[in-house]
Amino acid sequence: MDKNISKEQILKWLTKVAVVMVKNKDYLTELDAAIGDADHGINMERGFKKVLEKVDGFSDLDVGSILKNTGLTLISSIGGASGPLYGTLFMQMGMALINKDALNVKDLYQGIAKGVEGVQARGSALAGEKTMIDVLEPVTQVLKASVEVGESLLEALPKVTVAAKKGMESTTSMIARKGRASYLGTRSIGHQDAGATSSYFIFKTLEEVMTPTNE
Amino acid sequence: MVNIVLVSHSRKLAEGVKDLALQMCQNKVKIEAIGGIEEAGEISIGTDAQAIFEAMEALVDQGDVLVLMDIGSAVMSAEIALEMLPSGLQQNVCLCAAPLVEGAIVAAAQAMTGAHLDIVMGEATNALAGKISLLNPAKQAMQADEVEMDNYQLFDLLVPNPLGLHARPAVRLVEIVNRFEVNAMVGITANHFVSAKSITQIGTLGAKQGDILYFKISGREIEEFTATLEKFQKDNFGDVIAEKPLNSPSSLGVVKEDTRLNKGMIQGIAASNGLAVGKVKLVKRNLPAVVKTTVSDIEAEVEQLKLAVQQVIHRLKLTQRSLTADNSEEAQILDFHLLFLEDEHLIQKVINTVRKEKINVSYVWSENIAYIKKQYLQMDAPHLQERAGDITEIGDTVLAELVGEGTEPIRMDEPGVLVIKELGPAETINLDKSKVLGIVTAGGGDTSHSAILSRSLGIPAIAGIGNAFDSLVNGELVAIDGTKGEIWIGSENPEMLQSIRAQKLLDTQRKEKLLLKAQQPAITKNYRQISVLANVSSPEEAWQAYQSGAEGIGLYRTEFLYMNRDTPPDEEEQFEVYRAAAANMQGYPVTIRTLDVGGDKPIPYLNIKEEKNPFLGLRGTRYCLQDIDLFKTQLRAICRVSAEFPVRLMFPMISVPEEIMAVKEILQEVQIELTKAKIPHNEQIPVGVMVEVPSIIFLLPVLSQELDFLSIGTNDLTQYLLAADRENETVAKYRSAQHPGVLNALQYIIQNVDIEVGMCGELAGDPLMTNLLLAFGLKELSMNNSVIPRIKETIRNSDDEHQKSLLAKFRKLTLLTEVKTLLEENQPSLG
Repeated sequence: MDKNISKEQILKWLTKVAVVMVKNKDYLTELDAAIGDADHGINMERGFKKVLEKVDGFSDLDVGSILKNTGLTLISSIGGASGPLYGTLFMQMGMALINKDALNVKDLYQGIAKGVEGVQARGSALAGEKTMIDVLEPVTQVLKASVEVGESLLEALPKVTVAAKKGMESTTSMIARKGRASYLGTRSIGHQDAGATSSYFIFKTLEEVMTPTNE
Repeated sequence: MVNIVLVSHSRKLAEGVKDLALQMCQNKVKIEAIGGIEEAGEISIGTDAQAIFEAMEALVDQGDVLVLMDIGSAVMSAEIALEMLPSGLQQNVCLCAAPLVEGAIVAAAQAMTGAHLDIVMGEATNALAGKISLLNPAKQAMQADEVEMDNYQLFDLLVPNPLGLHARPAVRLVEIVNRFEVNAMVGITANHFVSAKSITQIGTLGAKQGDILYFKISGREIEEFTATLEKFQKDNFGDVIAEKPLNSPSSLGVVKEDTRLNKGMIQGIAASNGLAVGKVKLVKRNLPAVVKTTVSDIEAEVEQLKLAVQQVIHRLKLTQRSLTADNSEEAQILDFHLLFLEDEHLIQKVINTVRKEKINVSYVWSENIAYIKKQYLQMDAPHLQERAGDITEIGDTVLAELVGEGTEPIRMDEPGVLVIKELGPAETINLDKSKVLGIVTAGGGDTSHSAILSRSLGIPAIAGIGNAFDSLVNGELVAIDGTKGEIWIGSENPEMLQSIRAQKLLDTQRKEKLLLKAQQPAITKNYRQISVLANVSSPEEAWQAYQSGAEGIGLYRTEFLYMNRDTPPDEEEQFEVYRAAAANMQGYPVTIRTLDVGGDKPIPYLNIKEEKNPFLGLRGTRYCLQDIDLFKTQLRAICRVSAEFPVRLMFPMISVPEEIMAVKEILQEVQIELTKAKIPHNEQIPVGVMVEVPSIIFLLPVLSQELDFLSIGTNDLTQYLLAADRENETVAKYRSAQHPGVLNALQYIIQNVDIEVGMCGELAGDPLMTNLLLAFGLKELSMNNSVIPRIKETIRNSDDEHQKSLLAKFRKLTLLTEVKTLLEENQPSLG
């Protein structure tokens, strides 16, 4: 049967993402140190820790407002480029989902599509430029396909994780065209993009929250 | 007015750029610097959209806002901040793609001229143009856009100042253009013009001293505009003259980060002119390290602080006492140090913290000093920010006292070039001037106190050599050129060393000779001494006059003080200006002419009605007698200066004796008021009038008994005598002060009055005329600074016999051409 993402699960997702970011702070920073400015792990930890502090206060809000407030929190606490970018992702997603109490596949697709659109406009990055877009774009496409064939959330989410993982891994062989890594040119080849990695964590965590075995 | 938000990942960078930009716009533009991200009081690298939003919100109420950012998240955070603004306000904020540092400086400069947001944004975006054309002229990326202009007028202006059209004058120039209803293009060649409203484009002209700026001007207010330009030029393009020109390679006087050692030459910032050759005396100081510790004997700590502060105050007072009256600037700087240390509030705050938290006093002291320093650095006014250097010096001196390592005074055992990281003002004053041949500092710039002091002490100095400091070795021979900011290492450049040494010798000899000659009196071959005085309009020009050998000011024009502003100067301002001018003349007499408004010098706020024939209208004293309050304010200011300096009062445009009676009555009222208020002034202040209006000439033999002196203004006298308007070119051929019709009148005046008669018109500064004027019996000539040495020399070569024969020939002449021929035939030769 078709299981929706409840408001409680959204809150749980955000909480778990925060835990993942804290755990992977050093890993993300290490990735970023190779070709960027070695602050991605620190920034993501700082941002999501702030979200963690506030998430209890979000419990009376609808899903859209929760996501929007998460975005705002990220923007005002991260500091690096991931602040405006992830901030925009969650804010736009939230704005598309205002007054929703639960999300079905179509809702999730529409929210994420809107969020990704916002990120693309903000950072003007395209797929293939070694950025989080290399994860976000395939994720959007997979969800779109699931909506079209009428798959359930539980069918769609594992595919989302796989697409996100593939997208993340594909960044290793790319030349960075955006952000500070782009100053390295071809020397950026051979390193996985930190932003794509944190994006992967976000979707993987969503699947984990929704998968009963992980409860 | 456009205000500016600066966004950087680094708070230090944002604030540093803000300092630079504020210096550029003299604090006329509001600038918010947003940098770093703050969490639990700690600031790390990053950008905060919320903070940017708050800055935009604060400024957008006061006008348009231009936002400049560094890279990456700064851009995105600024975009988000903009989206957070109410949509109605978003159009008033522009995010600008300009490079942060260059963009901020250009934007600030353009904004202070009152330009529109689009213009400021365009200029800032183009901010790299100057640097590109400087470093890579062949590949100049940006072309100045030439605007086609029809029906324009041409106007030329000579660049007067040694630094040329650098950033500050460029800003002033754009400001002037914006003030008038004109469209103007400017160039230094006749075939390449740029918009005179564009700071970046003007910057690319690279106009140097002696270049001619060609203007194409159209619009309604061409005359007002060109008059202001002329004034601007007379003002030396706003560059100070008395203080030696700052020949810094970076006109902003910023510490250059990149001072590479290039073929044994180090480039620093020129801080004080002059040459020196000598051994490096390297002074390295280790500041006492301060560690936070808890203490048990709190009162001992408190006592220690009080003692340390007292010691330092005592030493400062000793230094101050050793200063003479000539060092007023130095004394003022020390005053600031004293004031700071005598501030009970600060001392008490430190003591309270020590008592409360039981930690060592040296730690608390350093923390407080660091905090105060930060406060100064955050202030808007650059001159206050520069005080941060003083705070460091005071803080370190007390700290050294506290930790028992009294700062060693800088001791030079033999003459040499002092090389030191930082030099405080008090230390600069205490230097042994006989030993310090030159000063080189790693930090500082051309406006820091120690640079100013070096200039006033006449010690060549170079600041801001940065890391190159480490490449200088104690004892090695160097040559420094304080004018260019260059340090030459002797071992690598022996020929440069020789050349600078020779140049220095030559310089010293030439300067002494020139000054000696200029300062010598002008005495004819028959031992008649003639007073050679100057016509000036500002204290700076007075100082130049003194340097050029003027023996006084024969005409101090006060109108310029009233021009180009919206309200008249008040008594205090006038007092300060006249006093400064008199002080610069070092005791020589100064004749101050009261406001000569009207005619060719309109002042809008005085609301003088437009006249068909202003030269025959309400001008000079005629106007002042209608505006008694304005007149009295000026008289009070002049009278107050007369208490201290030999000042004389002169009234312009006197046409009838009734006017002399009227002004004397008002002067008497002013004097009585001053006496009643116990304000010192010279009750016997000499009073004279300008002889410009023919009607007065024939009354002078009698009238002069009421006066102390006369000064003949040949320019106006000529136009009135010959009935030829100064501004009407069609009658120009009738108008020459050399016409026998005028010259005979001059002779009549000089020979028919018993009081002192001088001449302050252009004729006085014409060397062709000198012999004839002396033959008429004139004993006092007042002229522009530049011709003083020449006229003095002409007088020295003059003799009675030649004058007599010249006068005899002149008496028979009635035509202008005859006079001209006579003068040219008798052109004085210069020895």
